[in-house]
Amino acid sequence: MGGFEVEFVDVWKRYGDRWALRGIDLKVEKGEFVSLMGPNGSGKSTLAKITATVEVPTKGSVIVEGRDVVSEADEVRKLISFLPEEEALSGLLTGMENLYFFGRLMGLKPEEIRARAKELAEELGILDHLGEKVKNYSKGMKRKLSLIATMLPDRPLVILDEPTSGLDPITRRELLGILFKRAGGSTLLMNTHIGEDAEASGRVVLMSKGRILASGRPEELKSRFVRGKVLNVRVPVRLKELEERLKRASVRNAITVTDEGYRVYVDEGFKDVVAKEMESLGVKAEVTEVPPSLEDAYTIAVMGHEG
Amino acid sequence: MKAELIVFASKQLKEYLRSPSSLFWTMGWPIFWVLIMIYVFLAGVPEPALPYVRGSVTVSMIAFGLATVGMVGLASSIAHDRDGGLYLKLSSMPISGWGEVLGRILGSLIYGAVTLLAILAIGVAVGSKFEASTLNVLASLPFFVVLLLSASGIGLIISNSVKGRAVEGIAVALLVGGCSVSGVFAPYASLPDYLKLFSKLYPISASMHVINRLLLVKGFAWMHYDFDPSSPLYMAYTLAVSIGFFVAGILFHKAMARKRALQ
Repeated sequence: MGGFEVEFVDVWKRYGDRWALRGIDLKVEKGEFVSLMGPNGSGKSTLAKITATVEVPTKGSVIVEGRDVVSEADEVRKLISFLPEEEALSGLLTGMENLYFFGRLMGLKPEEIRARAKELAEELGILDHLGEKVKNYSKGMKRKLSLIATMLPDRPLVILDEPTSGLDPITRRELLGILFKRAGGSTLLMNTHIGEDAEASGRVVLMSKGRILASGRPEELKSRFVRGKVLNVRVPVRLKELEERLKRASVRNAITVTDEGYRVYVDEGFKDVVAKEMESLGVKAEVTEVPPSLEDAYTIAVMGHEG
Repeated sequence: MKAELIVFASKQLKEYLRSPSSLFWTMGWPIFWVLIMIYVFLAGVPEPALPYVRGSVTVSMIAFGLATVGMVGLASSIAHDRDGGLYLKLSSMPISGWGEVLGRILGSLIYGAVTLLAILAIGVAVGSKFEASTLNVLASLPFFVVLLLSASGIGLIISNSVKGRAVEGIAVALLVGGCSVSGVFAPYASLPDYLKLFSKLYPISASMHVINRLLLVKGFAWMHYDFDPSSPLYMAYTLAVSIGFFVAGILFHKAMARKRALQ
């Protein structure tokens, strides 16, 4: 089945006094794979839930192939498949029983469910576990099962909310590989805070505090925002004075704190400046240049947006 | 809707049967109390009355077991599914929602029948006696059903009013509290007057009184009731209030689902 177009027109969403979405305008073309990328609180989950008809916008509209997700919610639900962040599985049922449960609710016949479930489970490596109770599954297996439940019907729009959350890099790559392979011509809308996962999509939409910062192909966004070099600075200990100096040296005062130290964004020639700053503080640091990531593009985009 | 009803009933039933805590609280615990009450607390009961008093103990524990299914089992199951994201996913699917709640009730009724038979079997095995005509036995069946339905209504209200893991604790507290003061755990005759009034009105104990009257014709006199639970007026009241609680629970569950959808 081909994909459906999704159009977001001036979408706002408020929870109490807090605006989670502030005037989102976005168009997703038929068959496109779009990632919404941003940290917690950026509004990407809210946007996904509105598209999946589980919440309603405060203002504005979301149109799925000409159907409004609020006034024609019942019609839209027949066209979409939604993978929420929680697994939504019953631990006391087996994997196959869970798939049968969701498949029947989505209007599939038992034989269709069995055939499709076995196909997808074999690709994802959990076929031998379908007869076991889900409470005995690992987190990765549960996520795979949830993905299979989402992919059982052939829907023109598939919405995924953090599909790889909490998984190791190998399982994440496996899951996304199958997702992309099996989606066919469906339109995919995926939320993630992991740049590596967003790289798999055709277009990435960077979001922050309910607004869209930028939208484009992964490589386009990286070259647009990361103009100079990305330096990985490994330090034995983090110091406030060090952080302040690195921010001054970095483009848009943007630095990212990592497990090992910092990522700093500098123009050409500033690598030596950073090394000298370390030396002047008496900090033994290892400074290496690394390829830019989508997280780097996001960090610089946010700093530019927020001043 | 038919597919929804069947899959939810099947899910609910399997979850009851596969959950050790569910099996313990709905069957194990009442069976334990049947044995304790029969062998420990009936010492002063005159010999001729003993088998029928054992019968009333069995009826009480069946009432407790069925109430546990509805008030605790159903409430916990819904809360667990909500916390696990199932309702979020269901909101995105083309289902009516009626199949979900009615399917859960159907699953609970089937499991309730299993619970009833298990407790009854143990009660009879340890000397419980019933004396009832076929008509009385048939007449008692709807009251077992509405007892579970009223408990389910209360369970639906609890599960939609309380967030998170507190659901089970609050449901158990209300169940045990209600049963303690309504004559499920203690004989009706031993209750003070104000609790006798509550016992007559509370749907779970009301159904239990009707069942006692219908199934323990000979032994009923030993139970010292000050009213006739088999009067048409009382039976009609019991059916009405039980169905009322059930309908209230269903409507509240649907209203809360609508509220979540409009967020």
